[in-house]
Amino acid sequence: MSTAYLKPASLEDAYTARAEHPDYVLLAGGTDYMVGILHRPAPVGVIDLFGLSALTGIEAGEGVLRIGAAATYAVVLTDATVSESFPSLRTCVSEIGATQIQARGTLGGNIGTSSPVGDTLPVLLALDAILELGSSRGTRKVAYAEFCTGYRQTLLKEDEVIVAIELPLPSPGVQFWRKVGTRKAQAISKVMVAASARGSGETLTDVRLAMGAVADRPIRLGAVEALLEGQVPSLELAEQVRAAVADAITPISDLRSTAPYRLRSAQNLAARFVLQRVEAQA
Amino acid sequence: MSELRLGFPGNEKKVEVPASDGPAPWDLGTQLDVVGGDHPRLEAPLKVSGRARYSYDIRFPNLIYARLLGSPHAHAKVRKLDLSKAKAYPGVLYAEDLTRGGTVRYAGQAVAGLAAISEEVLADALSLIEVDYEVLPHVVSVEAALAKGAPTVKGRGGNAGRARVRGRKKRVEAAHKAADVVVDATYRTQVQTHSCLETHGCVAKWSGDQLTVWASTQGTFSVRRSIARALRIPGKNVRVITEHMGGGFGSKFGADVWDVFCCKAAKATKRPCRLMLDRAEEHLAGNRPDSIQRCKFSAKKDGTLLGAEVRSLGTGGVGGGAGVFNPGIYSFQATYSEHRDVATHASRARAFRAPRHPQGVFALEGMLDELAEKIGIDPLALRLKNDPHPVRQAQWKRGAKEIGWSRRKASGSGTGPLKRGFGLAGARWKHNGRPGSVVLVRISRDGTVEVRNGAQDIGSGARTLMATLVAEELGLQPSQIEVHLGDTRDPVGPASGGSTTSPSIAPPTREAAYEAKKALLAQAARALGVPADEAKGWGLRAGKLTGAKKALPFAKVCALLQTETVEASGRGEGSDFRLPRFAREVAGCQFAEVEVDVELGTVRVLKVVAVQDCGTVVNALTARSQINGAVIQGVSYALFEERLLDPGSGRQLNPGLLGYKILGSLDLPEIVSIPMSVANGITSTGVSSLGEPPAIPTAGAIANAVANAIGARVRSLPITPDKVLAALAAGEEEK
Ligand SMILES: Cc1cc2nc3c(=O)[nH]c(=O)nc-3n(C[C@H](O)[C@H](O)[C@H](O)COP(=O)(O)OP(=O)(O)OC[C@H]3O[C@@H](n4cnc5c(N)ncnc54)[C@H](O)[C@@H]3O)c2cc1C
Repeated sequence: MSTAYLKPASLEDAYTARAEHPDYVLLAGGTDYMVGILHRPAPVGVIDLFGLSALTGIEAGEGVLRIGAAATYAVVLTDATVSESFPSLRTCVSEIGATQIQARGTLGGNIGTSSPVGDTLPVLLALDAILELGSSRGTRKVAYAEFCTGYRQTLLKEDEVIVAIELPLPSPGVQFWRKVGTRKAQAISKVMVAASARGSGETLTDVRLAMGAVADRPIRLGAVEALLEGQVPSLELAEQVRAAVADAITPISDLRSTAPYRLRSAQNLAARFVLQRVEAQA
Repeated sequence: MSELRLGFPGNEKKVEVPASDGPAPWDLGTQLDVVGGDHPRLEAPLKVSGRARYSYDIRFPNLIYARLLGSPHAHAKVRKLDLSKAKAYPGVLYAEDLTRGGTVRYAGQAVAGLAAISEEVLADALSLIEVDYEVLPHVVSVEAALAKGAPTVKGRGGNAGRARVRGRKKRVEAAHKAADVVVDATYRTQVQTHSCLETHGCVAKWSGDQLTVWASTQGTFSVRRSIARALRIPGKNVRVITEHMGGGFGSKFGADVWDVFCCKAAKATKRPCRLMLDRAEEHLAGNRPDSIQRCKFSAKKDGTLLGAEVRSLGTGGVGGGAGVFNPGIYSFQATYSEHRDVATHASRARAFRAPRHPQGVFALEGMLDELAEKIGIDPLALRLKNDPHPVRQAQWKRGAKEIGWSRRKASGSGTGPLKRGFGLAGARWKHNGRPGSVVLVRISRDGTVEVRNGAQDIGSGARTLMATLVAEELGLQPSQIEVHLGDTRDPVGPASGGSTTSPSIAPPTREAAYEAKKALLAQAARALGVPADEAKGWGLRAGKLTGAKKALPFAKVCALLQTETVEASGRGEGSDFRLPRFAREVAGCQFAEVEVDVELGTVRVLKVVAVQDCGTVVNALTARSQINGAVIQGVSYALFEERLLDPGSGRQLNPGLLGYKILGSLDLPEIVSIPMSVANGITSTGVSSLGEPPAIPTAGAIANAVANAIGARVRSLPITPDKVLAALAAGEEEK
């Protein structure tokens, strides 16, 4: 049996295809989906969204930067607003895979899979990203913080498509992103930490601190955020963050790393977010 | 007798040698025109444009494909193997039961083979082979294999092999007693797989009783022999061709079970057959065994080394060869070592670029640094004090200058989360040239020069090396010489193991060129009517005849030939391969500078300086390439590579390159490769072993640099971030 292939020419076509074929696979760059394809049964059909113009634009509008779900990482990297206002996202995207993967991979794909090791996902959490989901029934908006509900589980309905990612503007003045993998590039992350804060002067406000690869999904660490809220970065605060991270996460051991290492490096990276502010002020 | 000036600038020695009729050996006084220069590989255009045909690329219109089925169990008895359904599958042409003794002893061991019209048919049909296994208990680690009641791997007796003992225990104990400092520590290394870019395998094609095999091998003649033996046919009926090859590193010497199966399938079906392993299978086709090295070293306060005692274990899986090169290199007053191979239900170890050495030197050099730290002496000073090798003495100084050793600070003294460190390690190897190879040089009337030998170019640039030697002798450029390698129809050559190829092939190459030149000049003299006596002083240099009245260009000299060609074979007979006259061993050393993030435990190697004795450097470009490649493999061994076996199933947990991580381009340090020419008086060319020695010290130098950076020692390879953080935490606790 061969796989059916649909290439919708418009968003409406995509919605229709989705509604008519809930058993077809949605495909953007295919860089997630194609991994291990030979070890799985072939899909009944494919709905190919790659390059669909309604999904590939990036627009800075009133109070929001809107990134099309199927905009490739390569395109995201060339966007001026991303560079100016969302340096944490830019750095994160620049470190995904390598040139070839960045030419195909999309934010929509990273979100669609919502694996605990999807690199952009903690960044999206730290930047309060809102997703626009669309279907023949209309569109709705969901915060990424609510979207991922478990290990590779999301709120996406059978007939829905991720249309865009919205990042609130003005962006947080303080942004942070670090990941650790087995080697510099082309390695699945062992730990990722993204953070952001607003506020004037030295005090941290509206703190967001998110991690990947330490739980069954990308998570925000509410207790650590609360600890940091309204505080001035200091060495002591960094120590408190280390302790709070230890209470907040219980990472696992697997092929790529060990639980103690993941915890230790997560603690140190979260502390680094604070320490960087200390050093910047010194 | 004639006198040779040996050694290197700064350390020269004059030696009397008997005169020979062959070409006079090169020494420090010889002026060489092309030898020692930078010569791009002759086959480089073919390789970068994709026109070079590897065994993997050999195709025929009616080609069929073969694959083996591996056991899913690490230890099992095959009760029954039923091929009938697979045989009946449309497109399957040949099938064979390969369960010889009926027992499999590692996961992935071949139990059956199929050949079919396409790889898709093969994949389907393999799943139709029915095997009834009686699963038996297994062990895949040294610890488990030595535990009480562990299942035995090789029939009777325990899993630990007989101890191989060197040195005397009493003497080393006495040395320790006299010591001011003693260090006791255990070092561990991992299993590394060869991960050849081109996997193992071949394409086989019969024509009557004549078999041609395009093999991905580092030993065309050893494959010829082993295929002939396995198929019980005369060696002369087997032709092995390896025009280009994508890496062997010691894992591709003979014909393997898959090669033999491929030849049989081709014979049975009367069609050419191709069998190349996939990556998971390649990981099973050899590895560098792991090691556990319990070491006790001692020294005097002034840095004089006293005792070195090493008790080691290692597993080569169902094979052996897990020994370590430790102790060595330095002058100890007394040494004692005891090694046991431990059998496990894992695939067989094979020779891997300087077998035993990188793992041994990692522990040896770590122990030396631990002594230095305890004594409070600079690690470099400790080496200089105890290193007996005249070449390495100079190399330590050269390398130290190049890396900026004086920037090295006390261990762990850096501030901030990123800490710098410096480390060093040494290496030794043998001058491994062997007699027996024959090289043919053929000069044609049209001025073309052809060189032939049946050995393969494993990737070292053997073609270019031979071309350079011939060019030197004939006064030409390497690019003017056509070299044919990798076909057993041509004269016999060495297998590429032990870094033997260049030193073995260089003397016969030079001698063949020398003899061909003599024959050419003799004919030319005759044609010009110049008496032989007068033509004695003639030579060839810079594309011209020298010593004659007219400096005829090379092509014109060739045009004087009365026969279509002149040919000569070189046998290296004028060379004594086992007689280094300056230093007995090949010396090398490396320095590493690293940056360690102490919050994340990540190690970044910033720079590696490698100073390597090459004997005569024939082609500086490919010599540096050899060193670069060895350092890259060494960094990867030090930080990334590790075969992981699941204790539960005995299967490899990271059987592909997604999980088995090799360093990527961003992980590469700056590499400063310094090939060093040392005139040793071995053979007429002085070419020595280079492929393996620079692969030895890298991991040891990096480990020492990491210890210097963080003030704590990781005694286990690979140096992964979790081990770095654990070492730091353990260091904190000690304080
Ligand atoms: C060599 C290599 C390196 C990689 N490196 C990294 C890395 O460093 N970091 C990292 O995070 N990831 C990495 N990846 C994984 C992958 O590239 C990313 O997750 C990428 O974002 C996936 O995007 P895609 O468009 O290719 O997704 P696809 O494979 O096309 O889709 C992935 C999933 O998302 C769904 N989907 C895609 N688009 C939509 C949409 N608009 N609406 C609804 N569902 C959708 C699909 O149905 C599918 O289930 C790597 C992959 C490879 C092969």
